[in-house]
Amino acid sequence: MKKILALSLGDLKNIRRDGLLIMSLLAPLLLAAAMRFGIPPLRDFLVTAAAFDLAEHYAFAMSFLALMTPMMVGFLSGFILLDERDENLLAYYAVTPLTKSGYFYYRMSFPVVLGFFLTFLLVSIVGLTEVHYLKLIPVVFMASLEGPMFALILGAFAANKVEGLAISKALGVIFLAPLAGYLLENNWHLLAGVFPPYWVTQAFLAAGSAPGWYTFYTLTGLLIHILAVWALLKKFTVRAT
Amino acid sequence: MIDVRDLQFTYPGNRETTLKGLQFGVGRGEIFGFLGPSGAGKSTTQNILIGLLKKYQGLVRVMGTELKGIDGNYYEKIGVAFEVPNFYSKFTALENLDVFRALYSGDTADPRALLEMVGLEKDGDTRISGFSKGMKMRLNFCRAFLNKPEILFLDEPTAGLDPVNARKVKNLIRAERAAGKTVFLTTHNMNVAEEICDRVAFIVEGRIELVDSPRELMVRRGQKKVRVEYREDGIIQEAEFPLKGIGDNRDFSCLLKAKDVERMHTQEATLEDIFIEVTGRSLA
Repeated sequence: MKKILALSLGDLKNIRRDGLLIMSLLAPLLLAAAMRFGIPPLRDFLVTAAAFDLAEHYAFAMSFLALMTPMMVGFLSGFILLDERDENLLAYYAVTPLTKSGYFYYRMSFPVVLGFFLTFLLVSIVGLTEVHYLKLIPVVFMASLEGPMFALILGAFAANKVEGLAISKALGVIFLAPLAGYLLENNWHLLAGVFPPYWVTQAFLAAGSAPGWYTFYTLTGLLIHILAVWALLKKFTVRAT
Repeated sequence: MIDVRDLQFTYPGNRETTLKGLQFGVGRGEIFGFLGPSGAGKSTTQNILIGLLKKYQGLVRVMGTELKGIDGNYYEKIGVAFEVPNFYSKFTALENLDVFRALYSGDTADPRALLEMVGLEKDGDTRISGFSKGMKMRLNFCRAFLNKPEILFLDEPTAGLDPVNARKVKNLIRAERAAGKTVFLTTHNMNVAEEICDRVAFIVEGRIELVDSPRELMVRRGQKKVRVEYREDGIIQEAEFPLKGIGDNRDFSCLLKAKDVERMHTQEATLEDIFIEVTGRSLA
């Protein structure tokens, strides 16, 4: 417990001293604020000006928030991971009672825990759609696995922080997968399922409307996320050692 | 404290065996130097001893425990300083030590006292990004003492240090010995080994060629002579005398009385000479 507390305080200190990390943490907060205060007036405007009801897409907007929050937490963890990798701190942690596996457990759990609570909180506060909390928990948990996933993508593929930043921007295209799931009418959208974020939004959207699909999306999504994290962790450990 | 028997190690995917049957022991309160050129197997041996490489053959016991079966508790009792310092560069020296200190459940040393020990007491609140290489090395060295370890594993502890700080570090290592602690030192710096090690092992190509005390080696393998340098008519002259019966050597005592002696040295071998002689390899 003392170890986890010390490492978490260390992470907070790291975040406070790095503009990039602060921005990664602020981004979902800003998005949530924009959604909470910007979207309802925008809807009113569009309804009167263009006879278009944005409320039909509120659920998708919310699922996007549920996806983006853990993703940004993942990038934040990824940048810390890159620093720790480059400063060779893994070698040091390996010869302390924490051990290397302890370090990995911590580094992977940090974004899951932070991502889970932050996502849950933001989705509840924004409240564009009615939130069914019991159904939300498994989906948010799945979404929070995006954290270690994106952290490891940076750790395994970026040579340094600058490259990490470039990769994190390039990964924006991954949002096309949820979009495919949302827009395509036939079942071809299942193909987008090779990209884990697809399952987050699909499960989120199905939670309110299609119970059978909700279970399918949630379970498959969890499995795919766990597999992705496992594969990336292997890739990262090879690179880091 | 350390008992190694028939230790063999091959890196996964490598054909050649890196360690080919090492055998040595280190006693409590001993400074043991592990010397050899790069690629000889020094780091591999150290990594096995600090529990990072477990797939070895043979027997490796530290403080009575076979290392194949250790867990995190092992690290409560050992201190490690790597050759390259590793710290959070955005944290100050004290912030770094505080994070690492919290990883131990046993008794730990006061970080400020550790900084003072290596002359960094005024730099505790400086971020590591503002540290020079020598300062990082000293911080790296003192961090190994954080958990008051029974055994210290030090890799090139004086590398990158100026002479004053190198001496300070050597004295601190000696003080640990005096306190009954054991030190396993990996180096290719023969002078450091000569000065502070009780015993040294020469490792070349995965084999230990020799284990002995540096003093014994230097005396035994040197020439038993003393060389005297003196000045005569403004020119430096040399004379050599056998050590045997030197008290009764008339020529020697006459020279001491009559001449202006400037230097006098026994002709023991240096550790470097012996290393080259034994292994046929230089340390570079």
